[in-house]
Amino acid sequence: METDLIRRAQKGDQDAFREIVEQYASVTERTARVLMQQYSRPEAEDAVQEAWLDAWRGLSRFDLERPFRPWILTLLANRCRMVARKKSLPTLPYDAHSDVEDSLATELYTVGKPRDEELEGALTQLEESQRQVIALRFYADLSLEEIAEVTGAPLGTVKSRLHRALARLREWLTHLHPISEKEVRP
Amino acid sequence: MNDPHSDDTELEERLRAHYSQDLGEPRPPARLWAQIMPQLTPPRGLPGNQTDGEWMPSPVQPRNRVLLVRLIWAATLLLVAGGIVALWLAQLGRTDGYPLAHNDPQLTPTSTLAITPTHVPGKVISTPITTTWQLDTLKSSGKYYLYKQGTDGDVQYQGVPSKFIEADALEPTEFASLHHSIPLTDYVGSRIRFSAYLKLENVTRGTGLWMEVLNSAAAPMRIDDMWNRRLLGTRDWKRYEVVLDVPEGSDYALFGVQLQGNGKVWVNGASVEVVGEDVAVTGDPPPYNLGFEEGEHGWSGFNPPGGSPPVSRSLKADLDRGVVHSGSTSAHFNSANLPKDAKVADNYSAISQIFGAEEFRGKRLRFSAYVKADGVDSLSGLWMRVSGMPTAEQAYDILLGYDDMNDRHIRGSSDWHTYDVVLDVPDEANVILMGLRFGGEGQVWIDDAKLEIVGDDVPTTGMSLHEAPGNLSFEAGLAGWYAYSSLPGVKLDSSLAHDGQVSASLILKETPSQGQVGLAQIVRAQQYWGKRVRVSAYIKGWESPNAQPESLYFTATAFGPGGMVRGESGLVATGPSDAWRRYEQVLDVPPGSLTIELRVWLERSGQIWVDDVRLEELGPAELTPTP
Repeated sequence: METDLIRRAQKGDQDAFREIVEQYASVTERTARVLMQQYSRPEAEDAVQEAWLDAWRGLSRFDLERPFRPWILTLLANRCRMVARKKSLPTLPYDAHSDVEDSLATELYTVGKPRDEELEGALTQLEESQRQVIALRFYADLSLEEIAEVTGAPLGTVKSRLHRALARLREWLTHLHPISEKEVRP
Repeated sequence: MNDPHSDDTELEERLRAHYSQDLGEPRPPARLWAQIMPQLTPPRGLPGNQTDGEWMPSPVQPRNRVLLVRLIWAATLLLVAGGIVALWLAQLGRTDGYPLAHNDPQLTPTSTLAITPTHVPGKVISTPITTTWQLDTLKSSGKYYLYKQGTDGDVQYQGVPSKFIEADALEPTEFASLHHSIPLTDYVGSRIRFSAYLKLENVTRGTGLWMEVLNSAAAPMRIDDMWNRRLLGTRDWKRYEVVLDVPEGSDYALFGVQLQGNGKVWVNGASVEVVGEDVAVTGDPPPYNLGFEEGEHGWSGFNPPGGSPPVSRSLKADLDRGVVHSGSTSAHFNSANLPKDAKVADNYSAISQIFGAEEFRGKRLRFSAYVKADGVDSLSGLWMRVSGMPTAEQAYDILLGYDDMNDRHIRGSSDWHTYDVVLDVPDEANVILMGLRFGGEGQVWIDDAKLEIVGDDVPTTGMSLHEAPGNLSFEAGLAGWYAYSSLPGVKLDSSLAHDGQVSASLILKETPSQGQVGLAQIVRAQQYWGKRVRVSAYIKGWESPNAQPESLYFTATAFGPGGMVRGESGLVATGPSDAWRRYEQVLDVPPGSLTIELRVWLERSGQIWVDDVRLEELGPAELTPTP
C-alpha cells in the first residue's frame, strides 16, 4: 500500500505524496521539536517542511524495497543539523557553564503551566542529552534504532542513555512521590 | 511516604503527557501539507539539484550509469579482497599493530569481524576507527560540550590521523569522553581487552581508557576506567589497555577514552579482542568503592568535589574527610547545602550504584553500611531495589524486591551504627540499585558499605517476590507484606480482627496531599497465567473529620513484559464505614506476566483496618489483554 503510494508519488502524483506526508506528519513534527528544542518552533517547523521537500525531490532515488520512515527521519535529522549549523547557539563562556544547564532546564521545563511538577523536577536531574532521548522515545515515539539515527549516536549509547535516564527518574519519583489518583486508574 | 512500585507504565504516560504539554501537539497534517504543497515542483525524476545538498548525492544521470556500475563492481571486488586479508590478519591475532580499517561496528551484527563466535585468545572483536568517535554525555560531567574534539592530521600514529579531546579552561572536575560500542553476545564467558594508543599534553586531572560491559537492560556488569592508574601530564604515544570478563548476561560493551579536567589527549589504534585467562583482569565486578576511599567513584548523586555548585534542585552528597568510620573518607549529606530555591521539607536526596543482577540470581543479598546521623528529622536509610527490565526501551521495570528501611528509618542523632537491608534476587532480575537516601533536615554520613551473599537463615527485609500469597490474615504479623507510609504508619491491631486474632491497621495523620500509607505484597504470576483471579480484602472504614472522597484504594495488578494490567479501578471507597466491608478486584492475568501485586492504601488522612485478604482463581481468563 505504502509502496504503491510512493511509486505514484515518484511519478509526480501529489495526492499520493500528500497521503505519505499526512501519514508521517506527526512523527516528523515531533522529532523536529525535540531535536530543535533550543530553537524557536517556527524553525523546527521549517526543518520539517524542508525535509519533506527534500523527500519530494529525492523520491526518484528512494529504494522501494526499503521502509520509508527511517528515510524521512534521516532527511529530517539532516535538515535539523543544517539549521543548527547555520544558526549556531551562542558560544558558551567557560566560566558560566553551570548557569547554562539551569537556564536550559528552566526554559525547557517551566514554559506554560506545568501540571506534573514532580516529573519536571525529576527531569531537571537529567542531562540534556538524556532528556532528549527521553523526549524522542516518549514524545516522538521513535524506536531506539531511530533515535540512534537521528541523533547520530551509536545504538548502544542510546540504549544506555535512555536506561540511565529512566533509572534516574524512577529512583527520584519512587522516593519522592506517592501515588496520585491518576496513577491508580487503569 | 515511599511507594516502591512507582508504576512505571504510568511513568511512560506521565512522560507522554508532560511532553505533549511542554512541546505541544504537532501541526495538523493538513496544515503541514498546505505549507509544503505550493513549493512542490514537478519531481525531477532525476535532475535534483539539492540546494543545500551536502547530504544527498547528485542524481545519477543515465549516461553515467554504465560507468557507475563498473565502478561499483570494482569497489566491491576491492572490498571483498580487503575483507579476506583483514580476516586473515585478524585470525593471526594481530593486536599490537595499527588496527585493520573497516567501518565501525554498531550493535547490529554487521561487523565482518564479529561474525564468528569464538573465544580463542587473540580473536579480534573490533578494531574501530577512533576518528569517528564522538563526544557524548554518557560518561561526562554534563558539560561535555565545552570540550573540543577533532581529528588531528598533524598528530599521526603510524601514518593515520588521530582523534583528540581538549580543554584548556575548565574546572578540574569536568570530564568528557569519546567512545563507541560493540555487541558481546557471542563472547559471553570470555575475557576481552580494549587497547589503544594515547598521547597526552598537559593533562591536569587524568585521562585513560575506559570500558563497561553491560547487560541487556544496560546495567553494568564490569567496569574499568583506569581511574586508579590515570595518566597525567605530557606523554608520548603509548599503548594502554583495560581487561574485563564478559559474564553471563552480558549484552554489549561501551569503550573509549575520557579526559578529566584540562589538557589534550589523542587516541589512535584501538582494538577490542579476546584474551586468555593468563591476562589479568583490570576491573572487578560491581559494586565499587564501598568505603568511599576513591571518592565518589562508582556512585551517582555526588557533587563534583570542590567543583561548581549543584545545578539541580536536589541535594548532592559530598565527601567528608574528617568524620569517618574507617579509612580517610565518608559520604555525607547536609541539608544546609540544599540549593537556595529548594525547600528542606521537599528534600529527598540519594546516592546510588546500579549494576546487573544476573550474577546474583537465586541468591540472597545483604547490603549493609555504617551510618551516622545528626538531627535527621525525616525518613532516611539504606535502600536497595531489585527489578526486572524486559527491555531497555521501556520506561518501566518490574519490581521484584525493595527495601528502604521505611519501617525502621534513621532519625534524630546517632553515632556510627551498622544498618542493613536483605533482599532475594529472583531469576527474572537484571537490575540492582542500592544506596543511601536522605530526607528533610539534618546531616547523615555513610561509610564502609558492604554487599554480601547470605544464607536462607538471614531473614529478608522489606518486600521480596513470593512464590505464593502468604500471611493474608496478618496472623504472622506483617511478614511478607511491605508497609510504606507517612507517619504514623502501619501497625497490627489485636483488638480488632475480621478473621483470626489480628488485623493490620493503617493510620495516616491529617497531611498535605502527599500523605499516604499502604501495604503491598508481590507474588510470582506464572501459576496464574491465562487465568482470571479475584483478589479480595475486608476493610473497615476510616475516621477523619475532613474525610475527603477518593481516599481508599485497593488494587491487583499484573506486571509483565507487555506492561501492566490492573483489575478495574483502584478506587474502592469514598467514605467511612464502621463495619467490615469486603472489596474485590477481578483480574485476567496475561501469560508472560512476572508478578501480581496486591496493594491497599489510604490517602490524605484517617485510619483503616485490613484483614482476610484473599487471592482466588476463578477459571480461565476471558480476556487475555497483552498491551
